[in-house]
Amino acid sequence: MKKFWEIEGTKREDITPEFLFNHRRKFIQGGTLFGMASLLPQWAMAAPKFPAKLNEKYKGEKDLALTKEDLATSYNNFYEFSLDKAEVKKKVESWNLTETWSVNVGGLIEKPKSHSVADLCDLAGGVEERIYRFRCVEGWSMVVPWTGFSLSKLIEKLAPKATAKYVRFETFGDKKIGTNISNQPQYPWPYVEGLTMAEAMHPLTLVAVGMYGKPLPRQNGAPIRMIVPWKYGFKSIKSLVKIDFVDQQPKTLWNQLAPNEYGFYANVNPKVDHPRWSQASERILDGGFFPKKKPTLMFNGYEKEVAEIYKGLDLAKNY
Amino acid sequence: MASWVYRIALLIPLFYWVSQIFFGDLGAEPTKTLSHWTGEMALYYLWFNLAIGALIGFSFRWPAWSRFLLRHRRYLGVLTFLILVIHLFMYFALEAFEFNALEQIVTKTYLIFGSLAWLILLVLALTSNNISIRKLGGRRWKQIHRTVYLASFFVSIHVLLIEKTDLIKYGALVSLLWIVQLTRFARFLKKKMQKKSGPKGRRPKSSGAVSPVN
Repeated sequence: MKKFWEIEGTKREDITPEFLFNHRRKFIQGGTLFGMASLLPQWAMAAPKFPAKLNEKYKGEKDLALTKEDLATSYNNFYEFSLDKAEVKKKVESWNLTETWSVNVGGLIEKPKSHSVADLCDLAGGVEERIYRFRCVEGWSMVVPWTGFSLSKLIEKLAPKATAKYVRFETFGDKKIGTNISNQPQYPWPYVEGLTMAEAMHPLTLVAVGMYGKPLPRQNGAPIRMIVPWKYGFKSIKSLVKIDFVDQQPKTLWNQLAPNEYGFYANVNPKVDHPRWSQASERILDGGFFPKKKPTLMFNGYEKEVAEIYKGLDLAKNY
Repeated sequence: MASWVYRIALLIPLFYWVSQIFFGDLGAEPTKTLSHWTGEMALYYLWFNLAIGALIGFSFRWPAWSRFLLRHRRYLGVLTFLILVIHLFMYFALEAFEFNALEQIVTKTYLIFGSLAWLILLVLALTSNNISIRKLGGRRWKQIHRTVYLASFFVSIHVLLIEKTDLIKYGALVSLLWIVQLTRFARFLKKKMQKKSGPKGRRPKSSGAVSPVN
């Protein structure tokens, strides 16, 4: 006999973990316990469970210490909010993420459709934790535990047509969310990034919904973003609203702005300098006054895994 | 009294930076933050210093405030250079004092222009004292110190190349300076032409202070 407080079909896994419950409470200050469910954002309603299980294949290396969480979540290149990396965290406060977030998946696939974040996680068969190196084109680097799923798993389910050669990603362009967008009219908003089909299908290519065992903070690209660990950070687009399968190389934001500085591939490569600075080494993000540097690795240390994709490609020309 | 207030007021950014180092939050890359702050402040001070010259150049009589600003111009200039010393130190710290830092200085365009400006301003800072003025003679000293315009030109390029992200702000700052300076130059040429045709131009009485008033 079912107790009156038991809801039909409720399983243990469907109950919100305590952490997420508290996380959501912040969004709904002042709301009563009743009617709370209706106030919850859709992406949080059936959100993936945190922390997710660590995938042993991607647990990082012993010599790589995780970057402190407060550094990784307070040093953000998110120009939609501010050009100042330290300011983004303050500027995202006005972004009300309780609204329903959906990702439009379309282009050259059988069934173009709008998906909730939870939907996408489900489609891909759930999320896991992975520890990746992250190298910014500006010359700093960090090591972060992300929560997410391989984009390839999603693509398999979406069944793109054979004519699809690239995947195009798009961030929100809403000026009400990104309060700095209208201050910077010289940028071709919204932020667009892209990958070749081979890159998108690589198991390392991650769709992330969390970091440090928690949902993504807004400044790090909540609620859902890309992480392509062997490329410079700007390729890992934040706050996805659109994924399109296309037959032509997408016109990406940084590539359009400065094609001589930011190529379409943007693979981490210590031998190809940025025109304005060397990429041979990187500063380890540690909050210290005198930064330590370490040599930058080819493909950010993922050479074994991804070099195959670029066989025969002149990486000095196709930077 | 006013002099002291003015001179100490100009030091406020330095006090602010030091307080931020000890009590504030300079973010994940404090060195980078400071290198940016010092660069930006030095730019404002350099532009302010040139604006003083422009304001005086444009006005017929020299009001009291202009004499006041003029008197402290060398102080402002030396202070600007001191900030640029910190700026350069932060660059080397950011590169962990590796040899690579020097290599980049001579190969990367924005750094080449930055360093050239730095070297010119070094000479100007070193000669910004009464002994140098006496030794060089007012005229020659003035000629040497006019290279501040060349330094500013290099600074403009340096800033525009590195500040690609915020081109609107820095583009406006740089254009403002050069619009003012080119207007001054045009006036200077006009005056020169007038002088050739007859000494009718009314020239401000020199107060004896050294300044690049064209």
